[in-house]
Amino acid sequence: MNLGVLPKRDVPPGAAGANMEPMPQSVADHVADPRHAGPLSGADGIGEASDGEGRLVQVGLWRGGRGAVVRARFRATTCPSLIAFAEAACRLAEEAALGGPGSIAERIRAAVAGVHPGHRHRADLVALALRRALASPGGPA
Amino acid sequence: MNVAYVFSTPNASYILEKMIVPQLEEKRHGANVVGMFFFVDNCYLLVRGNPTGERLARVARASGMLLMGCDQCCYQRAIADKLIEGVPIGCFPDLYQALSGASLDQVITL
Repeated sequence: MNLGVLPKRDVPPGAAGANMEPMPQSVADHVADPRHAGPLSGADGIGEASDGEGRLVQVGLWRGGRGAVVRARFRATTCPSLIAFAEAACRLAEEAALGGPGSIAERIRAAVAGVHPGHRHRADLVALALRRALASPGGPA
Repeated sequence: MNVAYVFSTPNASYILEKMIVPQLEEKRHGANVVGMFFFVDNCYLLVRGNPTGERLARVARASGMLLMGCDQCCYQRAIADKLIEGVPIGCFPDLYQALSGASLDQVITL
């Protein structure tokens, strides 16, 4: 019996499961495994944003051919929701999933589940850092 | 005397339900409670529908007392978006900022 790769099934457009957004991960999931947290040295573009209340997030982007983001990393103050949004933003940037309907902040917000209502605006802070990184000199023309 | 409570032990629920909340409701607690901060499983007291938490929230709305849950504790328990309306979550910087205007005499950990 072959238990290797399952056969890929085509999903017709419009069918259930087609074009579905990935299930958002919780803040705890992101914080428990922040795969995109790391040093930013060597990044082609770095963006930073702070809220004036001690919260700071930095996003670094590495570019490949045609300016595509091939690697994204972040550093953030020890705020769980901020870390979760930054983790989600870096993943979206690497997956080139920042386009489409809605703002970057809305896409980042939608990628994290279970956020306290008073913390949801922290996605805007991460989006600002990410936009600044995208607009930095190493970014696409 | 102005006091703040930090609930970090499993005894918090009992002490709140049987002692502090009734005393606050009956205005015979003996101290002015300016804030309460909840750690670990004590954050469940702040979930919508929790009887003790709802009673506390009523007291807080009337007196201006701060209720705040530990943000990491709430996120770990997936309850951050299920708390009683208006109850914030945060960490030490948020707690200190929220209580900065209060003239605290005692911080009591239970």
